Amino acid sequence: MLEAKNLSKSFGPVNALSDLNLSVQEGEILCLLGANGAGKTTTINLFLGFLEPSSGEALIDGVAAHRDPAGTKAKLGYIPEQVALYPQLSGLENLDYFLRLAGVKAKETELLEALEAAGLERADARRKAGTYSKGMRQKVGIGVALAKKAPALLLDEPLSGLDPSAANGLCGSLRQLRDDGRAILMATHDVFRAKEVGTRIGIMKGGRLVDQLEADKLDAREIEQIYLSHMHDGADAANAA
Amino acid sequence: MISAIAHKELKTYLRSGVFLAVTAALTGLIVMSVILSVQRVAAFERERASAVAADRTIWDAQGVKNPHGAAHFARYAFRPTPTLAAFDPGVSDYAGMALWMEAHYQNPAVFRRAEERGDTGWIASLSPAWILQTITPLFIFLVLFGAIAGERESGTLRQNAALGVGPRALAGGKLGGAALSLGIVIVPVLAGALFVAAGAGGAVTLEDNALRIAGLTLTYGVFLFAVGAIAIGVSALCRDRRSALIALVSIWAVSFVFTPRLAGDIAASAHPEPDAGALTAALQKAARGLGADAEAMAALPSEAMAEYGVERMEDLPINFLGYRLQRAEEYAYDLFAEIYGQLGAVHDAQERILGTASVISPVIAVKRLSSGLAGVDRLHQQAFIDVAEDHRREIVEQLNRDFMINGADAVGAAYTADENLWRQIEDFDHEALSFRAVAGSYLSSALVLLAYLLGSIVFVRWAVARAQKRVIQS
Repeated sequence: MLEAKNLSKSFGPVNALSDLNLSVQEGEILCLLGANGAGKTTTINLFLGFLEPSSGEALIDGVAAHRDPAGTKAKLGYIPEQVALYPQLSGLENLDYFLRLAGVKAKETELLEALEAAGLERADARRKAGTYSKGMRQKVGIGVALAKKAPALLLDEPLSGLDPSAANGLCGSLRQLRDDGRAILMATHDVFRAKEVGTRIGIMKGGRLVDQLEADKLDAREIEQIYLSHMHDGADAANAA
Repeated sequence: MISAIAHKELKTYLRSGVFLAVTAALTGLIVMSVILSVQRVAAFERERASAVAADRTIWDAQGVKNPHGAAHFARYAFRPTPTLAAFDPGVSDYAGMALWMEAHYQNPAVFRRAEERGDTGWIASLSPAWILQTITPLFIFLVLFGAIAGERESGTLRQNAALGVGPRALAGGKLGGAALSLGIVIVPVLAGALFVAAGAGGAVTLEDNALRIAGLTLTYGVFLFAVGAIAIGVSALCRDRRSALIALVSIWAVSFVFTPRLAGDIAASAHPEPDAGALTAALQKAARGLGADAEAMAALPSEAMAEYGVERMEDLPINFLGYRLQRAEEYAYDLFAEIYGQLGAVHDAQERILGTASVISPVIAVKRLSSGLAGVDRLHQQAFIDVAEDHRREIVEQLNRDFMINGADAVGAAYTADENLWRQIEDFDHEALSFRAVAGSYLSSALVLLAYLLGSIVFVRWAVARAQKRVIQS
């Protein structure tokens, strides 16, 4: 469903992403781990069609995102680090609005069901979004992806800043989406959450995918060690030099 | 997608405390200004009716005298209050509202209301038109400054882009939403203000009134829509709400307050009007024109004899003094036309400067259109002056002819007339210009406003695309 083929992106002399190859199938969550500037968000932006690749392709269901931005966006759900809502509208109205922008018209009951499935109570769904916590806003973001029935999801640091309870709730929703057959690509800093929800874990560094791990074959501690060893490679090399 | 965005904008604005406070304040200001203006115009109309009646009474009761003496006693022509003066007073407070229709002199209009108002005069500027031209743009800026900057700041701009919202849909939806939200408040208030104001002014045909009201509604609709588009465009160019607010308030101060004022001052200093003393001296010289033209004076007896087919002056069937006075009157017509033509040329030059300034300040184009549509601009004032001058000439000619014909046997100015003649002199009656007749004069201002509308739409489309590009690539 999501596939990067020799995907590269440069901003002037800076290579933000170099020769990325990855794929995420239906029913899979690929977590991209990496420090700031590793290329995680650039990868997501390329799949969203926000950026044009310098070379290679970001394919959604076989179609290059930059060639058919409207068509590929229709198949994507996107949840940023901070889901932004219109504070004057309720969660329900926000969901309805975002779906209309995506060209989807849903009945109120369907909207409420989607929000409930994302973990937002019905009473909360009718409250103004200006009163929502970050966790509740993220749930509305999940609700959009659910109601839109997007086959692929892109998540950019969605767990960042959430309290443990809210983060647990969101991880549960993501697992549910995975089990429903969605292909999910998630950028995160959090090794333990990546292990918790990910099918596979990709480690990015300096714009390159330096490793891919099967999440169920390693425990969190091992994943962290591997991750840290990749992060220290450059420092060690620099120290050796 | 555009309608979804517009609908969301409408819903959001209607729930916004700022929007509700601003529109309530705007509505209150316009309603208050309509009440004040209608009262003011009604008072002026009462004063005018009273002055017209008094002028008639005094004229009829002037007693027995030579008709030419009566022409010097003279009558006043009072300008009727234009139909929509309660909506837009235009130049009516600054242009004379009465003309003394005296023999020999084409006097300038006198009694400017602005000179009589004293310290509370500023209240008169609180007209519905002024509020719509100057205050409403500020209110629109206060409502719309966060239109795009706020979405950029909160992150919804990026999220919406991820859902496939392009700049065209976003700009269209934002414009539509702003137009709907502000329109449901401003349009009824504007329409109400126009209808109430129209009822307060002098009588004109229903068709002309309807045309003017439609024109004013369209003018302000286009103007305020362009203002809204500018606000959204500027909001799109700014990184955050705070800088958008500062930018828009600065634009308001420069473009809507200072530039119109400055343009007026520049126009007046680049093309100054002659001072009152010089004008009076020129008019007096024109009035003495025939007397100062020895050749023309010398030719008068032979011209009179030729006109009446006699060979001797004593055979003239008219009073020659009356004939000479009427010829002196006619001699001055061209001289007055030249003096007022020069004054008109000064005003035209000032108007051209204002026309140029309207390129950087749309409110100037709106002021010109609005005052024209309300019948209170220089063109309508000039029509009053022209009709009053025609009436002056008719009165003086009627009196001189009576002197010439009925005073044929009298020596010099010994002939007298009485109220039977005075009553034959008709009151001044001025029917306001039909807008159809003068619509062409406002074409340039209408085109400037149209250019603003199109330019603002192009601007908002470009600015939104730029904002979206920046936010998705960040």
